[in-house]
Amino acid sequence: MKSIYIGLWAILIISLFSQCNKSNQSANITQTTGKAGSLSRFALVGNYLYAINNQKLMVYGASDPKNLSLLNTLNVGESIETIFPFQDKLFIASNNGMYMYSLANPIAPIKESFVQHITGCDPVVANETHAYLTIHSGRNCGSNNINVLQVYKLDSNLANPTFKTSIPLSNPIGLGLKDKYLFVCDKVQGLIVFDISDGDSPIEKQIITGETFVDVIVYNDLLVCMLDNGIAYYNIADINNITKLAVLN
Amino acid sequence: MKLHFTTNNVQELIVLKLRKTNFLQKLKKMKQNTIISITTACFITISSLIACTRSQESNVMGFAPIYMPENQIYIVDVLSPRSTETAGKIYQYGQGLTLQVDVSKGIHVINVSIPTSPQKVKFISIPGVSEIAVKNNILIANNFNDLVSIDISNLNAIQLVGRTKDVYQANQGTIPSEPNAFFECPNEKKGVVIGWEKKELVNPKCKTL
Repeated sequence: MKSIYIGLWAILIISLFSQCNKSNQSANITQTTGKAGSLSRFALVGNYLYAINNQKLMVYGASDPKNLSLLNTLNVGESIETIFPFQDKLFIASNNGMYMYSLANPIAPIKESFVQHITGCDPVVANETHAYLTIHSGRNCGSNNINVLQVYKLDSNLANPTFKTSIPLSNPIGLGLKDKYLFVCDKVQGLIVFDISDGDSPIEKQIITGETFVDVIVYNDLLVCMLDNGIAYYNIADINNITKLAVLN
Repeated sequence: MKLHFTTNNVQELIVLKLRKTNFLQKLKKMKQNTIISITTACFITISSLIACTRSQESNVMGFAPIYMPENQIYIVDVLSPRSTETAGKIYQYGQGLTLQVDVSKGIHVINVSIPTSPQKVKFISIPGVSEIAVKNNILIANNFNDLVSIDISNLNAIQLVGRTKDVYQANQGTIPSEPNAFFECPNEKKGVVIGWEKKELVNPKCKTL
């Protein structure tokens, strides 16, 4: 009789432990981050938050996002503007070029490359093969009158960017990628959709007008657009039939 | 509108300061020179004073600082939804939630579970905010030089759950972002500048480049 009781207790205790393990696992699985626009100066990657100001890159421990800790501060350069994380790299855009940092050691990012371009304001986005950045002129963007989309080819290690092409636009700002398509917000022309089946040379496919587009987030079939006066949503499930869902001011 | 401020702004302020210093140094040199120079200096000073008095009459359109008392700039508050004043950066969290910064003022929380009919559900007031990110239902944003952590797991019970003091120098607007615009020079004693409003100014002493 005694041994049966002990056995029952043992089963109970073991099952409790296994329950605990399970709940820990599910907690790990449900850890999620969202998606920022290309103009963001914050980038969450794994357990770290990377933030830039005009000159520096800061690394914060964010395994517990309620309790952040500044772990590292790196000098990047002058007039740093945006940060875009992709895989184990950070793409950092400045007024005069694009920096790429490796996150092999997430606490101590290492500068891998810098490509210089004519002075202007620019966010950058990237996929497995290319980096796309826009350069626009305006206040605090230098004295050049330049408004272009630039394309850089990356090698198989997401490194060594080489300049491919520059496409003149009117006033391009934020941009976003969805598979073989690139969305570029041009404050004058509208939301320009490029076909990037050939990553080296984007082909303009369509321009969506009617709002002043500043930045975009591609979220599955939803395109979230920052407007100069609010926010707009588009359905991009069918790229040949992009439909406006709503505008909020 | 892209939210850039700073390097130039700082330079601009430095230029203003340098000009002042140069002028003082020149005055010093003059004093070291002859009486004639002193007289000239006096003449210049008097005539510039007259010029100042005259220009006080001029009213121009420009920007006036919006101040917030220093003891209020770290208050994070959850308010009812409101219309967007200065549209800022966006963040998408899951299929159902969008956040949009209202520059320097706070964050619009938007329920987009029905994408054809998105609804603003809350406004989180965060003075000085420009950047946002979310991890595990915790929204991280900058509140001037602090980073704040806000629990958004229940949109009806959004609350501040963490604050990391003095870890993010955003270098944000100490002057208006419009070029070639008059503005009222900020006065630290009135509080912290959280934004700018366009209005008629009397003899503004500051101008953007």
